[in-house]
Amino acid sequence: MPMMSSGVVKQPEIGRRVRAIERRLARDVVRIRPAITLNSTGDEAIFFRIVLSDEASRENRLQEVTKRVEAELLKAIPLDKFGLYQYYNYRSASEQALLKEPAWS
Amino acid sequence: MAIAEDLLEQAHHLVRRERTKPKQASLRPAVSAAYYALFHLLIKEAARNWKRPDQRAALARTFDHNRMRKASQRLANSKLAGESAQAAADLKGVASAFDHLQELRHLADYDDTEKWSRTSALKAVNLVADEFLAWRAVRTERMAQDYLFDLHFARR
Repeated sequence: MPMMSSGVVKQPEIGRRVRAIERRLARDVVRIRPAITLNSTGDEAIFFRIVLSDEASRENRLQEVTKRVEAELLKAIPLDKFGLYQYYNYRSASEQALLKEPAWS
Repeated sequence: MAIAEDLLEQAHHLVRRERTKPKQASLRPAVSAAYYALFHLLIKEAARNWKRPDQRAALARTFDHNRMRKASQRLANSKLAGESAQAAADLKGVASAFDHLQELRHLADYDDTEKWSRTSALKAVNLVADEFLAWRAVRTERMAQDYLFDLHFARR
């Protein structure tokens, strides 16, 4: 019988936690889209596509904002509980408006 | 300058190369160069511990990306009890960045299904620049030297 990964089983819980972070960081974060898959070495992982406000994407704020976002995600979805390595990719609201990729919408 | 610093400088250059419409051909190699900057920084530091200088370059060539990543993941998710909190956080940041950047490099070099934005590439490049500084702050600590050992050797 095929086994479902723990990450997939916990997907609804992960979705709830991500939405809570979106609300908490709404000043800087437009949306977070998680995707559970395997990383390039075959480990279970969660990839976050994170759209930031244009203000939060400015170079003088980017490191501070992204560190806060990642700390919140690591705290909410810890590796030892969910078994998922975390990876993050960012774009600004303006960049997404130009690129129009559905996975980021 | 050493190759690690040159690669980081190249990454900074590529990520800012086009002012208004960045090309994928600039952003993707910027991410790749940022990863290799960190890779070369760590293998140079590890090889420096080898006593004979004339063998260090040959030793550096034997490092395996996958083994380095596994060692980095272990460290990034460990507790490091008894160490100074700031030093432990700095070192874990370096290890976590290595894992993260290797994955991003893989996406940048081999996955054409998604476009890269300047924000994403800039974040990756600046992360490596930060970890260069973090590494310099902790490189002489025992736990940092243990990390260098684990990047290459399996403990029994």
